[in-house]
Amino acid sequence: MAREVRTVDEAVARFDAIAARWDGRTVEAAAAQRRHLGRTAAGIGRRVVFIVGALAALLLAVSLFGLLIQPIGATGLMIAAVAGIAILAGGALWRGAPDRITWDEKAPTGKVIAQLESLLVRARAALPPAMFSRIDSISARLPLLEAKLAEADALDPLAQDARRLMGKHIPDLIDSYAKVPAAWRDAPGGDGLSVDQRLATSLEAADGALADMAERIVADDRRDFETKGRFIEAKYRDLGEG
Amino acid sequence: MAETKLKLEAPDALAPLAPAEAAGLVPVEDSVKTKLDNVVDKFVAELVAADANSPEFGRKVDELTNMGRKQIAEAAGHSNRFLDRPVRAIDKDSGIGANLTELRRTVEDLDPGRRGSLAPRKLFGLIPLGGRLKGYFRSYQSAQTHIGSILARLSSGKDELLMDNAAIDTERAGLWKSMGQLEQMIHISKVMDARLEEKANELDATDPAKAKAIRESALFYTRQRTTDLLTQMAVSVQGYLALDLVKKNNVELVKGVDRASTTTVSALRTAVTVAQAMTNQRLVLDQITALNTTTANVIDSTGTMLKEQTGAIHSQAASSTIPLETLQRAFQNIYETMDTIDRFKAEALGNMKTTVETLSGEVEKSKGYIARAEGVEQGKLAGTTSPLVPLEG
Repeated sequence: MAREVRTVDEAVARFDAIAARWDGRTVEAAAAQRRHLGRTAAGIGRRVVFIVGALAALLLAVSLFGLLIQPIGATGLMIAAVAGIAILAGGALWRGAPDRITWDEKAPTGKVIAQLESLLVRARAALPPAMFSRIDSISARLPLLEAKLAEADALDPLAQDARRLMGKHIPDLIDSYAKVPAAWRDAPGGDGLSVDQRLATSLEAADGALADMAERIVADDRRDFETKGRFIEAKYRDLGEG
Repeated sequence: MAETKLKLEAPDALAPLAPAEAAGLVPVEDSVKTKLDNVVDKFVAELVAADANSPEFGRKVDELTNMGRKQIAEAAGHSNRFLDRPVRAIDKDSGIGANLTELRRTVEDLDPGRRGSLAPRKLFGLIPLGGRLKGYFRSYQSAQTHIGSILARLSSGKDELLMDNAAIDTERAGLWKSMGQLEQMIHISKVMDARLEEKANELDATDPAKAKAIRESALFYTRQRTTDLLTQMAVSVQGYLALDLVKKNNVELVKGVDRASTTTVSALRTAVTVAQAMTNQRLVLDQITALNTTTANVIDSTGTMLKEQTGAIHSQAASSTIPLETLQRAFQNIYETMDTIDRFKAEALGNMKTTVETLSGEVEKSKGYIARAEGVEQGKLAGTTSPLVPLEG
């Protein structure tokens, strides 16, 4: 019998697992893809809201003009039609948020992480298959880091390092990898490492650093919990037994 | 009657510790040492096999300059947190000081010694003066809510001290673990030093250029890292000891607060008995006398001794021909307790300040090394994983 799904998170996790099996990808990749699609859908949603809102405002303006001032006539109709077309064209051509904003120390953490995740989803196909597991591993760490960094003090050095790594260093690495033509990626460089091999070691280091940061952030919560546990034990254990 | 003098001892201030003395305080098992030795041997063999001018040799040397960086950074993270604690311990004592002062003031108002006309010799046998005595005991009733609220605040201040101690225990457990890792890294770097020296001496005859390269780069950086690791170890060890000091101070203060609450409640209980004996009226101080005075689960024996002592005062008050003197003595107990706490605080404060100064100096010293270690790491995202790491567990 199928296990009962109790929460939205469980349902989403199950969806990711099924999607991963279907595409032959890992669960982490499917989850990252879903979050990326979610953000894309949100962008489209904002566009639709803009078009519908603008058209409604135009219709209202034309109606009020016709009712209160004077009938709009053929010219008015023409102007309204042109305005309507302009709104539709504007909505369709509007680029929305750019895929990649330039790195800024003050960029909101959520945006930095969302951008990295989308970048990883888009770049995944262009990277050697050997990198997939590493990219998935990095993607899998992002939701936790996003949640925890949102609570962290912006001046915390750990948070700053994490933001810089995710917002600048990894995107820069992937961009500069993409610039090397595919045919030259196998050739060994000065110290014997090919471009692909160096990408592998770099991503490994980045993944390790993110794992470290996540561990250190979680360690704070663990310490806090441990302290509260110790306090309750110190204060109440003997009373309870007595 | 057995006197149980309250003794609060301020722990001694922390003495500075030389980095050379820091190693060896946390034991490393022999089996772990053997494994680490093997790692070092393998590393040295690879280093010696590489051409002294090759990138491979350079990479190996980079690994040495980076050796223990993570462990030092982690231990330094602890130092930043623990330095904060003794400083805070000096700055505040959870409002306990202010509450004790308030308690003292309130209790002094009730002190029979400050109401000369109540002296039993003057009153003995004179019934008409009983009215003034009743008035005196009535003042207890109006003060009991106030005293009750001060005692509640003291109890919550005590909880803060206990919470502080729980945080210290957590910090010390983490610190112990990171000191174990540092100790392993110190072992690695010392063995590395010895092996590199050995190899360089061997190579002097056959390959002097490589011997020179090993001495000038590998051995040089290894020694630098040994110093860094030992410095951090000294800071961590002192932090570990300082945290214990703060904890002991807190325990003593908790003892003091417990004792102050107990002696107060005990005095009020005595007053109830004395009132019964002298005015034949029941003095109702339920709010306070119902308080559980033996909350001393933290402070072991004091609780039992106090219980006996309270019982003794109690029976004495009921039977004595001079009950007001007994009451007076109960008040004296409160004052003595508070004086002891004041003395303790003054002494502990001095010792704590010395400790903080010692620690701050050490932490400052280690910060220089950490900055250097960070500098080495800057811009070094890519790279292979170093084998020079402590073993888990």
